[in-house]
Amino acid sequence: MKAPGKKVGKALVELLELPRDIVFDLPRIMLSGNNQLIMENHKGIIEYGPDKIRINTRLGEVVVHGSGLVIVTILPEEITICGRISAVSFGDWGVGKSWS
Amino acid sequence: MVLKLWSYLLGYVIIMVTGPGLEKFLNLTSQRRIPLWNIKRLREDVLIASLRVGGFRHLRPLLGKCGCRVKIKRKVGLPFFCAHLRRRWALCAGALLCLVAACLLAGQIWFIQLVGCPGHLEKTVRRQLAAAGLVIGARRSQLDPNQIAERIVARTEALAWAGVEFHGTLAKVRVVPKTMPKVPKRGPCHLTATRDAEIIHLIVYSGQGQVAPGEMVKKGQIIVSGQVSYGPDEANPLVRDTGRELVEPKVENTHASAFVEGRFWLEGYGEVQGQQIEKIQLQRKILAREYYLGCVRLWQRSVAKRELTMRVEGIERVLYKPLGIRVVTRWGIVEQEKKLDPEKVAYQLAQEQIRQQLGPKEKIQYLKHIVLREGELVRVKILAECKGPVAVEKPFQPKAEEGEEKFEQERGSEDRADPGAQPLRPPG
Repeated sequence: MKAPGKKVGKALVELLELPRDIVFDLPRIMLSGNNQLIMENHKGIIEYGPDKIRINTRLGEVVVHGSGLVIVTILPEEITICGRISAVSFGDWGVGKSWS
Repeated sequence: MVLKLWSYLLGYVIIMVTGPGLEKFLNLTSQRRIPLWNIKRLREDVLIASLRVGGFRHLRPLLGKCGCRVKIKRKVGLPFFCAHLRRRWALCAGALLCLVAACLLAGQIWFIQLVGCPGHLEKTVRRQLAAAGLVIGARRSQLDPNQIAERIVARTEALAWAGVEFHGTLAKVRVVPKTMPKVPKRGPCHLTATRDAEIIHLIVYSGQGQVAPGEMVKKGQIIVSGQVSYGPDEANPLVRDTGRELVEPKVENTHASAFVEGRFWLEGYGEVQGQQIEKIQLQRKILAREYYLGCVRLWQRSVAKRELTMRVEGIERVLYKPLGIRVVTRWGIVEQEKKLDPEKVAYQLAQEQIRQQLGPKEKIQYLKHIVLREGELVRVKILAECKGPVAVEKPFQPKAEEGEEKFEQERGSEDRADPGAQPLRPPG
């Protein structure tokens, strides 16, 4: 069961057509080809290796698979990953956590 | 690119972090807003990253929390480079000096290249360039290429065009010399008659006309004289108008030039005995072919029969030069006889005789012929009236003081004839 605050917030966002990622602090992923991935609103790195990077977000973790992965920049709100990205998966994203 | 340049200017370090909690280290640095970039994990417990110089101090409290150790692998950037150079001031001074020298020397002209300049003009052009300031070692910024080009063209008569371009330290000077028409050397000369003629037109360009249109001249007679003598009245109009006395008479030797056209008469004579037959060539036929190897005839092949009214001529053709085989082809021309009018033939002969006497620019104006027949002998005489240039240049060697002496003699005789004559004086 969803919290009443979230319900109100969701209704308000839909009513006012506000961007969800800003209002609810949702992770935003931008993938340029298969070479660069930029993620905003992350919550830190869980695991980092040249083949796999797990990034924590508010809704769960995002797993980037590939080879030769390098964290180009890491800032409190943004992380940029370069390398040959083969897959991006979302692990442990519960139903209650999604905002689809 | 901008970030890299900014990082280089401020200076950064490449650090190697070792320990078990590397992810924790990354999270802590991002939380504390310590920017890291180019993070590469080398092994399970080793990663390298780039970090600003200012951020390195803030790492120390974090290292204890995540149990990692940091080691500076390399220092990169302008501050480190400057610090490195501070100990090598001589090197810096040398580099700076070199840079200044290169800048100064690059602004000067070190090479002057002349393009299109003939050898005999090279010295003159270089001298003019030097006068215009374009010398080796001159400052390029102080030179105006257009001005230099204009100046050398204005001061060198033999040049038609010049252009100056600067390519770095090279000054390229393109010049185009004037191509003057070849004027033949013309000495003093008279115009004399080439034949007995009547002058129709006479227009004197230079010299002094000796005859007038309508007059008859004989062969060799001077039509236009190259010696022009000026008497006191003719030489200076002021003398004529004011009566002032001219002290020195003058004789000028010139190259006489004039348009002279004359009328002259020529005679032509032709005679023919009996009936005249003309042979007309109808066609050419190949008669035979002969094949030679060197001088030895190998084979002869007749192609057509030789007829009576046929003239034979041979043409050689070399077909196979390396082997020396020579093919001689004999041609025959079939001829036909045609009876001609004897009067017409005699007329043509007489006319041909006149034509031989005519020059290239002379033309026949009018023809009159007389025919005399004595049995089979036919005589034709033609009288032709012709028109054309009748003057030719005849050079002469001018004699010094010849004209003046002549003038003095004339003057002396006049003085003797009229002893009371007074020199001309201005009126009043």
